[in-house]
Amino acid sequence: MTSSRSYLRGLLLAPLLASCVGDIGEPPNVDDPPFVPGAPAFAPAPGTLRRLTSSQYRASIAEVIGPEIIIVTRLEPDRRPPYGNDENGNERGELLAIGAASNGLSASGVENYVNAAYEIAGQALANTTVHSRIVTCTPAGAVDDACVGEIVDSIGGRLFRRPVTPEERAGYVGVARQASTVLGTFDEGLEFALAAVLMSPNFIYRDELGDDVSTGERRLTPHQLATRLSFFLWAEPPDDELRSHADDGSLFDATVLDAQVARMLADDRVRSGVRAFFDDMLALYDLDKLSKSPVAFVQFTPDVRESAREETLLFLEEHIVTDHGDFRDVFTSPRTFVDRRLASIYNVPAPTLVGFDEIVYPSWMERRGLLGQVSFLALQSHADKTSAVLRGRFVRERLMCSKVPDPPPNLNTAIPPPTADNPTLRDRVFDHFQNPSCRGCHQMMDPIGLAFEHFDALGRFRTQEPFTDEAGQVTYHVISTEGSLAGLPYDDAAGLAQILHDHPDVPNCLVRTMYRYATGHVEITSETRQMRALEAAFRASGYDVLDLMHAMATSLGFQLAAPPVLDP
Amino acid sequence: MARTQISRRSMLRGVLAGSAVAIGLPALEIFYPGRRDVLAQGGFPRRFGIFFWGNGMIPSRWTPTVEGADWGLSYADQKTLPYGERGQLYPLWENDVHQDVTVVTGMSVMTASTVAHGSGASGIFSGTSLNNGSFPGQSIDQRVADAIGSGTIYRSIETSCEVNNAAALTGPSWSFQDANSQNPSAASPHLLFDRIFGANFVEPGGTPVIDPKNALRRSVLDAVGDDVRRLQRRVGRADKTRLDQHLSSIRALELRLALLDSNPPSFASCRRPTEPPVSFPLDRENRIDLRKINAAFAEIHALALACDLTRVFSHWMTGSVSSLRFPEYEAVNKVDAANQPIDPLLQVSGHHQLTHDEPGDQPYVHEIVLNVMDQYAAMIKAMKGVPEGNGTLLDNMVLFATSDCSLGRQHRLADYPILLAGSAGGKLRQGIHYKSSGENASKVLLSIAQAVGLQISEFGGDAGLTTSGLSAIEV
Repeated sequence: MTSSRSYLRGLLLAPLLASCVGDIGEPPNVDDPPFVPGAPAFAPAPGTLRRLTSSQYRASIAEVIGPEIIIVTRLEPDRRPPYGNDENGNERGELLAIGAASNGLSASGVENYVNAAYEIAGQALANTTVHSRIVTCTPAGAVDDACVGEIVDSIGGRLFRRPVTPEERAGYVGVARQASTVLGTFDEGLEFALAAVLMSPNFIYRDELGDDVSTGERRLTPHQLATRLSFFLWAEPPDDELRSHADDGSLFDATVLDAQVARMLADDRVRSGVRAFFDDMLALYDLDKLSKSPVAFVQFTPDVRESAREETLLFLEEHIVTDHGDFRDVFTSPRTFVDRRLASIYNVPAPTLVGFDEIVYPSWMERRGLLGQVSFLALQSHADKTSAVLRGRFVRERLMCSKVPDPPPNLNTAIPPPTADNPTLRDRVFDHFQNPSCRGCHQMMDPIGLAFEHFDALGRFRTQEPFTDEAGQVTYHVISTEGSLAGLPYDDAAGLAQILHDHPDVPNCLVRTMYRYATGHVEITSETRQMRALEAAFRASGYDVLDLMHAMATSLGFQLAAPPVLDP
Repeated sequence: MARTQISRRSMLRGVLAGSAVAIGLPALEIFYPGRRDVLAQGGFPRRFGIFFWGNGMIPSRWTPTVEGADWGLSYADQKTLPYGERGQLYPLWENDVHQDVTVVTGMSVMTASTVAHGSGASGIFSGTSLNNGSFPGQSIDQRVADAIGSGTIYRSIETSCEVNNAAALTGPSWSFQDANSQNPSAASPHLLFDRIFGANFVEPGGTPVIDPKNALRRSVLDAVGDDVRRLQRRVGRADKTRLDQHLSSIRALELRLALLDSNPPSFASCRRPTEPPVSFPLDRENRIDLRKINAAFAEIHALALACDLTRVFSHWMTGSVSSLRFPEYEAVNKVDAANQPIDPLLQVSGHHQLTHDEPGDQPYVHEIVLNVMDQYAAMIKAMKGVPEGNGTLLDNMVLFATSDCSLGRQHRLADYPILLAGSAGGKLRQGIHYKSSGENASKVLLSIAQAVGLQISEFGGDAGLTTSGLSAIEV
């Protein structure tokens, strides 16, 4: 990996082909995206406030206050951005990370933050371990402004991911003073001050607005950069070392930044970062909604939801972090990680009685990689039967970043019921390819979806589809899974997996999705060169996802921010 | 809105001077100017509720055969029919609420039909077309809440019987403060009960005990509000809107704390509802107990209105494109109209899929609509169960029921499902069936909005715009 890393850096540090942003000035040494024919000069997108997602909030509390804290309050749900395009016709993207940077907070959401703040502050001071961690000074009495100020600086600074300003400190110290006076003890006063810090927008929102540096260029401040790095790579707030490089401004030094990114990628916490990214990219959180009839699918219990999510995340984590595997191999990999529930769905011996362990599919099995897993096969199906449309659309949109238009709303979208002449799903969606008003879009989805027809709506393997005739007689019909993608024919899901493995849209889509995830916005036209540079870097690294994360975290688009858009 | 600094400081002095004491605090109107009407006139406020379900209905089996005031008679002889052969509004007759419900059929959502389910919801709840595929702005419940909800403890309450976020225990909704701010719906009756009828609820006649911590909590919110305002100076337009909403929610919490220390208004029917169980068990098919969850929400909504904790709610019983698997069907193992056996697997499929895949005259979809109407009837009965003055809570409200399309299979926007229970204090006619020939559905929304106190003279935009209500349903 070291060699590919240094090769990658070489690529990105290659002589600038064009001056894209004029004088970069201080701070120096940010790699300039290369010239791309036809693409406009590089210019960053405006920065935003990014609300902490539920898991980022929880990780922050565990990291700063302590893992002892149990948050019972239900936080505002994380949501994707509004469906469709924005007012300028631009794509909004489908990531929770984008929703967190654009969605408003509901009244009940604010209420929940307030409740959670009191819950956390109360627990923190009631728990002796946490108490001694937080209260680092000895209060001189019930009211001790200096001691409260010290705690606010320390805890607040870590929760806000930047130093607390004197103005802010005065506000919190005032709260503590008032509360201690009324209630009579130092701790009770501190509890209210801590609660105020915890419900502050400075904690709840990640400020990635950027700031003007001396030369007039706008970029993320060192603390904002540290925050973006840490949530991107680790899915948690910056640690002491990273924070110290933000405090002294050395994070602006390209060498320091590079070393910090390398350190973070070598740290085990990157596993959480990789998991959090793929959970968002693959919308695995939607498994919450998975519901199947246990009569039709005896292996389905609500526990399957969490098992399926864990299988996919563990599979990706091992492949990417432990093995530094080629990302494209996630489609063709013959191995996965299953618990007993999933083993019974896959009809393989359970590798372990408790938890998850590795299995390798025998070569004759058709099941392969990410798209052989329940998290895809069952989630992209209906409750009772498979759906070529859902499966095909997921592959096209989430994995290849193509946009499949919505169906015309007034169309009868019913798929005809099975008949003796048309017993299989492929027979029944035949009209999608004949009818000119269906064909355009369905050719994008259905052939891909039909490749997975050997897996039923829960993900169990089958080669035949049953059909019940009028007399109640059940007959079985051989399922054909043949098709072609990009002019390349395949026999079944394993064949399609190989084509996806070799398809350039797939790694490029990962780059695009990760850039959106890392920066909280959908790339704008003037970032095209940045995207191309990252795609090239990913390719040059042999599709090592950690190397891509390294290139992204040190890229210009990651570090700059245009001024916020004010009123017209 | 009146700032609360003075009262808090004086309260604090009171607390500091002695132990916590029960005292009658400044009259409610100081904090809640919006309530003055009610308190001064001894009357009852007008309220607005939405009852929504996803995936539409089947117009041919929905529309009552009788028009006018006797529409319920359409169902008089259906009791002996098999369940699946009854009209879709039969449950309103069976539950004896047909005289409370005005049925409007044959109207059309006129706005652009571009996205299945989304276009209908946008057209009916905002009167305008989707904006590039997403909800265009404020939904009707939030507009009404702006007009009549800001004086109550909760500006509006949103609920759902469906969970779509297991960690947050929230569900779907089409309630939007603006295009980027969707109100999630509470999907756990118990959590909602805890929130609005829990420890902080003071029953009428009870005397609030001044908790000195409430004043401190308001100081905390003051400090947080200062943080929000400082942050606002640095952000762009879109983030400023987000922080504005954040700030107004903070202010609402400050007012709520102020009100906790005040004597509750004495509405005769106000009481704490039955505490719902923490969770409702699934059946052996892992399906939710829709009837019980819906009933729990209905009781909470009715009493929240009775206690004037809120004046606006929306119940997104099931969401658009809902895949909820409904309880057992009567038609199981039957044949459809063409005498074809029904695919046995269909009985375990979700609602949305059934609307598209069930062949023939869709007996399962039909039963789902009957089931939905059962739940609507239950909610109407919950409202009627609260006496107010010489009548009931229902007399002082509108409970508007609709969906995201008419015929689900085609996402049709003509023949839209529109039901109104209650008369909004005598402003709307109750218990009639008005059959339209394709008028703009926005007219109904304008009539409702005006009846519940939203002062507007037009509703909707582009093809959905109307400048007149539907006179046939107005008194």
